[in-house]
Amino acid sequence: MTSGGPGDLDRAGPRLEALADPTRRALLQAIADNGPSTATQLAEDMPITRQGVAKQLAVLEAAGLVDSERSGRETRFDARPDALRDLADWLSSTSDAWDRRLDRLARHAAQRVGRARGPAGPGGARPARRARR
Amino acid sequence: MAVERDVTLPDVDLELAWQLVTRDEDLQAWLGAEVELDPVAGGSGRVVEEDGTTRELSVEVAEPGERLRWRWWPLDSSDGPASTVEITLHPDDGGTRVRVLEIPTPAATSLRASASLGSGWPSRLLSLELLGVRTSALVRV
Repeated sequence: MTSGGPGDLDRAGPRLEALADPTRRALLQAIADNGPSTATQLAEDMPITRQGVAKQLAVLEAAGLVDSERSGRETRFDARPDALRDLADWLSSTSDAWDRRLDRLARHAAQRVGRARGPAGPGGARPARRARR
Repeated sequence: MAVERDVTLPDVDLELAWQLVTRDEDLQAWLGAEVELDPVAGGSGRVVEEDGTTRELSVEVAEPGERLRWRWWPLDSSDGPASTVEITLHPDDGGTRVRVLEIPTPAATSLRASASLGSGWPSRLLSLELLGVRTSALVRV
C-alpha cells in the first residue's frame, strides 16, 4: 500500500480517474457512510454482483482511495480520508487560483475595451463575474 | 472531476478574447506575473506566479477564437500535480464567455488509467459528489 501523505499530490490524477465511474463513487460513498465493509455487504445495496463489487474495489484500492484489511475469510474495505483530502485540497486551491485569475482577466479586458473606445466612451468597463453554478 | 470556472467579458468579441488568452502581454495581466506561451499545438511556455511558483507548459490544442488547451507542471513537484487546462470561448450577449476547465493529469499514469478505466473527460457533477464523499468520510473518522 502506498502512503497517502501530503507529498502524494501526484496521485490526484489516478484518484480522479477512479472516481470518474459512478459505481465506484457509490461504493466509496457507501464505505464512507457505513464504515469498513466487505464486498458481500456492499453488494447487498448495489445493482451489481459481489464479483463486480470486488473488481471495482480493487480499482479504488489501486488508486489509493480505499484500504483493505483481511481478517479470517473476510476482507474489509475502508475509505482513506487522507486521499480524499489531497483531492479536496487540490480542488480548492485550483478553484481559488482560477477565481483570482479570472477576476484579473475581467479587469484587464475592461481596460482593453475602455482604451479601444477612447476616454469619451460610455463606461463599458463593468466585468460581470459569473457566479459558479 | 475537474475544476470549472467561467467569466463573461462584456463588449469583448472572440477576436479580442483570443488575444487576451494567447498574447504574452495580455496573459501577463492576469494568468501570472511572467508568462510566455506559444499559442500553437506543440508550442511551449512558462508561467511564473506572484509567489514564485513556476510552471512549464506545452500547448496541446490551439483553435483561434475557440479553444486553447495546454498541459502544465510545476518545476517543483511539491507545488502540485501536472494538470491540463482547457480554455474555451463562447459568444455571449455581445461579449464573450471564457470557460476554464482544469484536471490533474500526472505523467504516464493518466493515459493508461483512462484506457483501463474507460473514463472520459470528467464532469463537473463529479466534483460535487466527491466533496460529498469527502465530508462524510472526514466526519466519520
